Amino acid sequence: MKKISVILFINIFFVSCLDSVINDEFYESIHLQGSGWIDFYQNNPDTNRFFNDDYSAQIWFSGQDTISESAGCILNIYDNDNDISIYRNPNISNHLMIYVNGVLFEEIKIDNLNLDDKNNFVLLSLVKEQDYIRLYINDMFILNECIVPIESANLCSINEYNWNELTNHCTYATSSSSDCIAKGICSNNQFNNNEDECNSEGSCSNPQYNNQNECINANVCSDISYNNEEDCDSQGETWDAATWIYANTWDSSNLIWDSKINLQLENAQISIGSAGNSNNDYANFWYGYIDEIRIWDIALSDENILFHNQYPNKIVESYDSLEFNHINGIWDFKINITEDNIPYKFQDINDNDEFVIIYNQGELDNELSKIGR
Amino acid sequence: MFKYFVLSIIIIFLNACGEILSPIIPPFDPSDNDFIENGYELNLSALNSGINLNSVNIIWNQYDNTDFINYKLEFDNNTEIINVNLDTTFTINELLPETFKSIYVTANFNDIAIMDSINIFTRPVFPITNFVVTADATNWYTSLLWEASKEASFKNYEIYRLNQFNYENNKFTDLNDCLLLTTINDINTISYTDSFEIDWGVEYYYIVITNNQENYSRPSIIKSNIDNNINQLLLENTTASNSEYNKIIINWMHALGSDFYQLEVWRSNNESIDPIDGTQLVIITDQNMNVFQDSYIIGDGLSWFYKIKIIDIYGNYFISETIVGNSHP
Repeated sequence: MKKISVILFINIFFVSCLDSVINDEFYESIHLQGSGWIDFYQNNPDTNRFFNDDYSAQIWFSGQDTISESAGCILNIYDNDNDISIYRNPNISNHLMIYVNGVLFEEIKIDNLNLDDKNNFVLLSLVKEQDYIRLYINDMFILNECIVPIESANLCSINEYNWNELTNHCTYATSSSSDCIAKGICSNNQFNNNEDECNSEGSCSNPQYNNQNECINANVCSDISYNNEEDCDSQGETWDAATWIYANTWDSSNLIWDSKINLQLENAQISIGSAGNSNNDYANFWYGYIDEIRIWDIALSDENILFHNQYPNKIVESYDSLEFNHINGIWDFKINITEDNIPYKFQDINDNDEFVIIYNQGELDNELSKIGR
Repeated sequence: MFKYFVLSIIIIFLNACGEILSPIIPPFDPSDNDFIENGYELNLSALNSGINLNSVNIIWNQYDNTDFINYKLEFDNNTEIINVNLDTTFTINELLPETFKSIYVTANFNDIAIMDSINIFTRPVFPITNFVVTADATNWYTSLLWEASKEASFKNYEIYRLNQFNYENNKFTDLNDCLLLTTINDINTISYTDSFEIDWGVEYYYIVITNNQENYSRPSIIKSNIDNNINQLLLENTTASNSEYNKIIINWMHALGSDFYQLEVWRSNNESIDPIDGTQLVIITDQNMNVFQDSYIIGDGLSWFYKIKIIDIYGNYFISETIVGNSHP
């Protein structure tokens, strides 16, 4: 009998039914399966939440391996006139594509991102500050533009720079801040492509020489009317090396790596997991997991984002942090596995009048999942 | 024994609990959407574009709601093709080979209409390939060798010749002024020896025309018995779009002029696969075309990798760098 008791005990210890007995296991995330999305509501679950002034939204999410040939949209913010949508690249698992007003603004490769791996959770942060939008994955900016200080579309178009009509900037196409900063600009716009070409345009202090190499190997009299050293010396002038006077200057410090864009968004709405618009059309549904969502009524700083990425379970660094009073809503979708009444409307965990609704417009259901960050 | 039986039952009972299934969140649809706003799109496709000589089949999504009236198909010059009541497929026939056309499909409903368009195209007659011409140093006879055409409705090959003195003025643009050496009715014939009034040392140029039963034809590249006619080719400004819905627009520039033979667009779906080893999307024989719309199973935001190959009338070719494009998600 003792042997039987030991066997039973060992079995009970290992089998999962033990979880049911002690009731302390939780679902951690929402699993969107290509037909669901999340919208925000305020005051009551029937009133759309419109985002105005400064605000921030944060989402801890992952993707999953699918056979879908549709680019899932993890975040879409839009008003009647403008929109930003962040899609995954369906066939490159570490690429995100950012469309602004229907035009590809940037496709960005993110190291350590694998949107085919359901356990690879990342933090996406959207920050609106005045008329500017910043986006981050973990603690990295993903809304980048290399701005060239040329103020005319015509001048911009004659070299390798492109005029961005959306932001009214002349831009240099690079996804690297170091490439941007290292890239220079010539004072003569014709030679913007190349520092050597820019510098090669000039004249010699000895006007006999038009060629830069010949010039710097030649000498010249301080009075250039004497073109040989003997005459120069006899007249008390100085015979010295000729110098090449650059007509153009190469400035490598002018280009700006800007990580925000100017976009007017009034009464904006945010959708998570689909590309929505003001006509209530929804498409490009996300495949993957949403672990937690937070919204703030302030523009979080870079330091805040860094902190949240480092300590995903913490809201603020301390209770006296300024941001503490500006958290509007937190949804962690943490539900005890014994809970029978599963909702599709979720109120903020602190019972603020902030709500999210999990919609479904397809064949595959949304479900709760134990997978979490 | 009974004790072990009871023990087995208890163990089976405990293990049978297993993993609890993930609970479904109750489905909830947005209530204020009408059907049109619910995302109906025509989603036109023409999967056999470039496959046939004279026809292309167009397919679109079905619309099931009661406010439906009909679908209307038009060419790009507003020429109506047909009104279709229920079908969601239509075959456009009687197109010429090597034709590119835009087709507009309108879905008409009681209060609204939705329009979409697609570029369709037909293929050229399959020409002979791998054309090689060599002169015999002894008697100056010319050996012609090629790979057979794949044309199903093959009629014949015609082999034409020009000598070095009148080639530059003609380049086989006017076959009436060229010497027709022979007509071959067997598609599997892959060689010919030219010994007709040959002058030793003279340069001769050859072309093989493939004709089909419908009297459409396609020339081969031109080969000389002496000169290899090496040309340096170049493609510039090659781009692939990333903000167009349901299509990817490929652009290029070249300066080949009348020496242009054909241009091919190739595609792969993976960065690590050379597009030239992937799918050939189209053969373009119009030297003035510098744009192609790819709508062949492009998905929705998927990245595609393209290379463009340009070939001159002597068979010289240039392949572009890989360009990447995707449709708007």
